[in-house]
Amino acid sequence: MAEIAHGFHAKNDPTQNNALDLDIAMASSAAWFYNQWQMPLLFPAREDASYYELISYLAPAGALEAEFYGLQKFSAPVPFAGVSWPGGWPASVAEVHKDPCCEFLK
Amino acid sequence: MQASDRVVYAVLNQHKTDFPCFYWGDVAVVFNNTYVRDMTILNPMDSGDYTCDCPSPGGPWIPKFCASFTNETACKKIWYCGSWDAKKGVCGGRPPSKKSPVNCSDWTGEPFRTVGTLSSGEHAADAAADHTLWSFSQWETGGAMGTPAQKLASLLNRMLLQWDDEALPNMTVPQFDYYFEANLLGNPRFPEAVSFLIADMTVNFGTAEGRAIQAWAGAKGWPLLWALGSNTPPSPTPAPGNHPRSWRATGRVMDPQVQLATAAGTARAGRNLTAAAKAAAPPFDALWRKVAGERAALQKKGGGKRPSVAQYEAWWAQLDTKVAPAGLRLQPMRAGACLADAKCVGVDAEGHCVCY
Repeated sequence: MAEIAHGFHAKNDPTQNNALDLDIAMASSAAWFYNQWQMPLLFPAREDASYYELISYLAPAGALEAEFYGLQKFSAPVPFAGVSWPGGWPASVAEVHKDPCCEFLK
Repeated sequence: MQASDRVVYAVLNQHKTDFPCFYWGDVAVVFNNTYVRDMTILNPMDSGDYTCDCPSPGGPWIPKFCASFTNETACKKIWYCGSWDAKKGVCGGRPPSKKSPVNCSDWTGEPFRTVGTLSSGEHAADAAADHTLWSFSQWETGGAMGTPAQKLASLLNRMLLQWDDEALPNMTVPQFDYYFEANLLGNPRFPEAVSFLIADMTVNFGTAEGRAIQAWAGAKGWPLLWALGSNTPPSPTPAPGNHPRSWRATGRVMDPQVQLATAAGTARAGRNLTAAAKAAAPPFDALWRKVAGERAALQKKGGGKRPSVAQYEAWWAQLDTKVAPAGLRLQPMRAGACLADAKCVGVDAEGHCVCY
């Protein structure tokens, strides 16, 4: 079976590709692997500081998940003025702490 | 709707590279296939390419999205938008499908026509072959990679040959672009969702972050492997020009200190690896301190200097040939190679499965 892997930078560096992902300190204190919608909700100061990277990162994900995969759209609109993408924005931090659901493939 | 119902983006390492995530960082989490099997969707290519380049089922969104990049510097941060139009003051807005290497016809119409799962990858495989042949013929043509057929042969050889086989083709950045994106629908939980970690030696060995990676692996009971990878200085984009023309991508060594410090120390290859790890730990530590000292000396000089590519190669050679006994040098498993592959890390130099 081939390996399924996810990469991130051990030390956050905003100049690097995928800089908005976990770093080793975040990973070490996490109980599960965060997705890229959870990151800006859980760590807004770091993520919002790289505004253009953030929206570049999330827009294609929104399009894939809401339009191509057909996952249910988030309930809130994209919170950045003049910016939109398919699928919206998660309404609250509370949502990200609910148990993950893997019903999609069943 | 919960954010935790969404996707963790990952890559299927069908190229069998030593460090499979060099586009996205310097630490790789390799998931437990048994845990993620029923939550994984395979895409035959990077999904950003087709979501931004192909017509969207809900209508065009890219031109409006690109318009929100309101200056040239910002516009350069998203390559899907094309270039900054200085006359109009608009971020490109390249029309979907135009000049794209993506065969968009695969992505329209019937939903999920082109995605697969780990137990049924035929759809994704068909689409990947289609995409691969299409884009090989459209992109990076005429270069050192040769014809589309030669490129496809290179991919298959990377998938099927052992790392010590002389016929194994080197890895290249354009070749790496043809990978299956493996998307996990849910939040993989620690520690059970992870099989092992891989750390990029050139970034993390001999550093505080390297120690933190070791500590994380130790705390969770995961084996840690070190890899040489492409041995490339960090860069903001994974463009081909930022990487060597080609590299072997065949270097992995198990961390003996993590082996000895954790439950993962019970890893074995038909025998207990503790003795091998014990023997390797002192020279591993000596090399660690040497590399840390060199990094510190360069930092003192200022200017953000890092050890040279040649220096990393020399240190890797030490780690690979002098520090690590054969039992700690691993390559990825092949299908069916190890019975309990969910808890296996790789195959050692003698062909034994290393598991825990």
